[in-house]
Amino acid sequence: MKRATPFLLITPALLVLGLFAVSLFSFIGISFLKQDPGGASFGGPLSLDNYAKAIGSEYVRHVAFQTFMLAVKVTALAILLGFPLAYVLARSPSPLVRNTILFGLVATFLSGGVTRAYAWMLILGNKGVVNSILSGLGLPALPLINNEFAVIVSVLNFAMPFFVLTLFGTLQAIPVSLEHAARNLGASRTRVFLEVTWPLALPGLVAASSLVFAIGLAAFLFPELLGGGKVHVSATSIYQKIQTDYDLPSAAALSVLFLALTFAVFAFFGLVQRSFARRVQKRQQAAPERLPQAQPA
Amino acid sequence: MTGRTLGLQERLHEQTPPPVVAAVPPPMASPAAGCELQVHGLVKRYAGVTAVDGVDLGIPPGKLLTLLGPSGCGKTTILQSIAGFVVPDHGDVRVDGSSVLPIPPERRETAMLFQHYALFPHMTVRDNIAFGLRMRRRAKGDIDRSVQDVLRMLRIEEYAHRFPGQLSGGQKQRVALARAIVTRPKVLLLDEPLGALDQNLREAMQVELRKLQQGLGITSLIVTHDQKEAIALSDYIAVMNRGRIEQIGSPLDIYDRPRNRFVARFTGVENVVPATVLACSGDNSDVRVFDTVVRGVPGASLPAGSAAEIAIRAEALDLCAEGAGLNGTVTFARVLGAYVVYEVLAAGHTMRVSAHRRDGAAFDTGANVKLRFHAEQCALLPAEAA
Amino acid sequence: MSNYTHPYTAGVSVAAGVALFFTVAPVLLILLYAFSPTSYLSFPPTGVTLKWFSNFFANTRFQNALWNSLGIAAIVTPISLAIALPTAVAIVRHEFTGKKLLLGALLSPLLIPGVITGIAFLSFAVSVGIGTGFRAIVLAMICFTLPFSLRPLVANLHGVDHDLEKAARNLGAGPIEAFFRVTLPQLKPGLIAGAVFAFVEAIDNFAITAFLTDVKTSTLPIEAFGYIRDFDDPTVAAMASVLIALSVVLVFLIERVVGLDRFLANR
Repeated sequence: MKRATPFLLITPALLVLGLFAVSLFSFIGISFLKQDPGGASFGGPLSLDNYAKAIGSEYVRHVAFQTFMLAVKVTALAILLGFPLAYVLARSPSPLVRNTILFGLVATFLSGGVTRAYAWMLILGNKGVVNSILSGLGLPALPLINNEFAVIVSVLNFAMPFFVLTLFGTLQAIPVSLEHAARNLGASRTRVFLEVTWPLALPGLVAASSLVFAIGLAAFLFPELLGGGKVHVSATSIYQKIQTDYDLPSAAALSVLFLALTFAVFAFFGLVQRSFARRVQKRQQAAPERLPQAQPA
Repeated sequence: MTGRTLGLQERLHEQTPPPVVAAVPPPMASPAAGCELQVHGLVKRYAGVTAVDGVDLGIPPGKLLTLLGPSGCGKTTILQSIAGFVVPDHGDVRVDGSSVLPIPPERRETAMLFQHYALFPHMTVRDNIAFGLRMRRRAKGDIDRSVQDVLRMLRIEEYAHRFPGQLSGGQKQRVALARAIVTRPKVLLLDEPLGALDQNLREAMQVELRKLQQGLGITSLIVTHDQKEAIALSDYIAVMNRGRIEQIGSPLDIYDRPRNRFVARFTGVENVVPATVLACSGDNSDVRVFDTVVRGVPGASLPAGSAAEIAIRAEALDLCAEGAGLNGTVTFARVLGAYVVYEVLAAGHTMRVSAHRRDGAAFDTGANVKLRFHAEQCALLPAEAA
Repeated sequence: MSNYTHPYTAGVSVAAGVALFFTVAPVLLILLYAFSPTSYLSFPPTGVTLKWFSNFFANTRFQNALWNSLGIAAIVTPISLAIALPTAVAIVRHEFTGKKLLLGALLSPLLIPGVITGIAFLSFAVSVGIGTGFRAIVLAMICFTLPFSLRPLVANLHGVDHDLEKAARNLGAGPIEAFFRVTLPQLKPGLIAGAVFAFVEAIDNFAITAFLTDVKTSTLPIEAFGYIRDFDDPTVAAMASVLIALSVVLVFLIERVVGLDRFLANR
């Protein structure tokens, strides 16, 4: 009974995993088939044609690049905006400030994606909040929606709670006494950040960044609603292959390629994180104990 | 309790013997002349609680003062105020006569040894020590030389390339100390410096720390709750309780002449018994205690007839099998290596007596004994509500 | 004398303020718009009205979608937790080959973009005969919310002292009784975190659900998406406000029962 216990315990999860795996792998299997033109079914001999077409396609390469760059931009902005917020959350002496930030982040996170996409349409629209204020001040309206700008802003906004809450955990774990010690030794607050906080926050920053990067890569809702058809990312192009072209095998091939890109990116992040972990571990390898001994001068 | 600063200075200069500089590795070239640290009327309140309630103290150049007290007495707040991490509500902190309150912590030159060392885990020992010098933008060659000097002084040269995570407690302590003194601070602040160390290590470090401090002549302030440590390390001790200073003096002052019950108890006085003052002339009083009259007890000056207390240390009491003295019965005996500690019931009080085994045979539980003490070894304390 | 004791400079405070405003601005705006008497936003707001809310509740499509969404979430959340709990116990308390692989595999749905999962599930459901609709969405959501419920539970269980359960066994309790009486109560933060994440995801999911809805079954996000494309009034804002109110209530509940700090420590 002892040996069997773990397997009994994980059986439900294995079933779920099995379901997920089967649907995913059968989908991958479809990528080797071909869509009947004009028809609703697919079949035919197994081939890599869909892949060849996708890789050869200028459009697909462009989409992959766009998707990647979107993720890069969102991640960079998340770090710029999110780090100060995470730091204030971790170090503010006022419980009111901390609770307000926490409340805002968690409430935003729980209020969902469609809600916020809609809100951005209201804010960035041609007759939206920003442009109303601008025209009220006599300034010309700005094209803030149906373009990459709106997508970046909305995806960034969606990712913020994830980023800040992940990073905040790491920052909290850095002992305040280290920052005090640095100030005590002559470092201004800026230098304390550069010399002590930033290096020690790096591992957590990488973790938070990889999370945001994943969200950026997989973005679907925001490019769809706010991109005005001009922002082509992997997720929307896959969706298009189905909704417009009714080509399931091609969509499957695109999906596999996209998954390959995603896993490559994560392998990279994983490598970076592991190298950090190894460095930290090396710094802690026990050296032989030595008690202080009375020494001749 | 205010206006004590002047009196303090006078007393300090009268009673302290010149510092003994033990043989120590040669200090860094031309050590900075020690600075005088003064705290005037410091007050700090947090959310309705008064952490520091009007504290005055002064440390003459090159001397070491220990703030001794239980947790919550305000000693750490005073330390933080001197370092610049806390801004007091009232009062002043002065180094060599000028106030440091307008100066932010990074420019105060009040190097601190943190309770758990606060060594930067991502920097080597060498980089940790060099940190303060780098912040002061010293030339590289200058930095390397100073770091090497201090590594040698604290005998941690062979750990220079290691990371804090690879060091033992005692090694970390010395690195933290090196990091603090390499910048030639005006004042050295130590927050429970030896609390995290094992017993044997602690005593060795006490000696090292003291020799270093004296050799370099850095004005120092230690915060601790360990009275033995305070007595071993300091030129002066300030005993604190609930935000106020109860007594300032040399270690022997505090040890032999506690001013009130708190100081007596906190410095380990084992026996405090009620007494009545019969007569008083200057510092000496005749009292009634244990149903006998004892003459010439030093300590508080109180009018005749006052209720008072007498503090007697366990080692100041002698036990004999017969002869003059109070009648007592041994109720408990414990052998502690070189000493035996007894609990003796005499005149209605249970007294703690510690006797050196050299001084005669041990007594068993139940033995009838005679209890003796010298009046000069007691201290008269004002009576307080329980 | 500037406030030099503050851990960060004024610049950092400003940057953080901007970041926070940026993060919560959409939510605040939605709330404002939901009560606006006009179908466009006006500054300053000209009045307060509840007509968009009644619009929302009167709309049959939205109501069907609302019931579907709530129903799906209500079914998926407990099932997801029920599967996640024994899995967490196996991962934290037992050793077996392939444990790391299993944990990675269980968390992988988070890495795969929703669109792909949605299409894959759709084609699978169709080929197997389940088709689209309520059942398909429930199945898909159970798969997808499992990592959400699993992570906080694993984190929570790591911090629970196993000795307590052993002490209960030592005093005569059987293994299952010991678990339910001693360990489970300590898993409250993890269970609540897992429940909240699973519930929110089940209600709010768009990418996967988009492929599994049909004429008979729609969910709230899908309906909202359609409405936004076709109409230009604050009805969706009213819907969103209801969801936001729900999330605010959830936050308060979490703070009361578990405490926000503990809740977040389990992420």
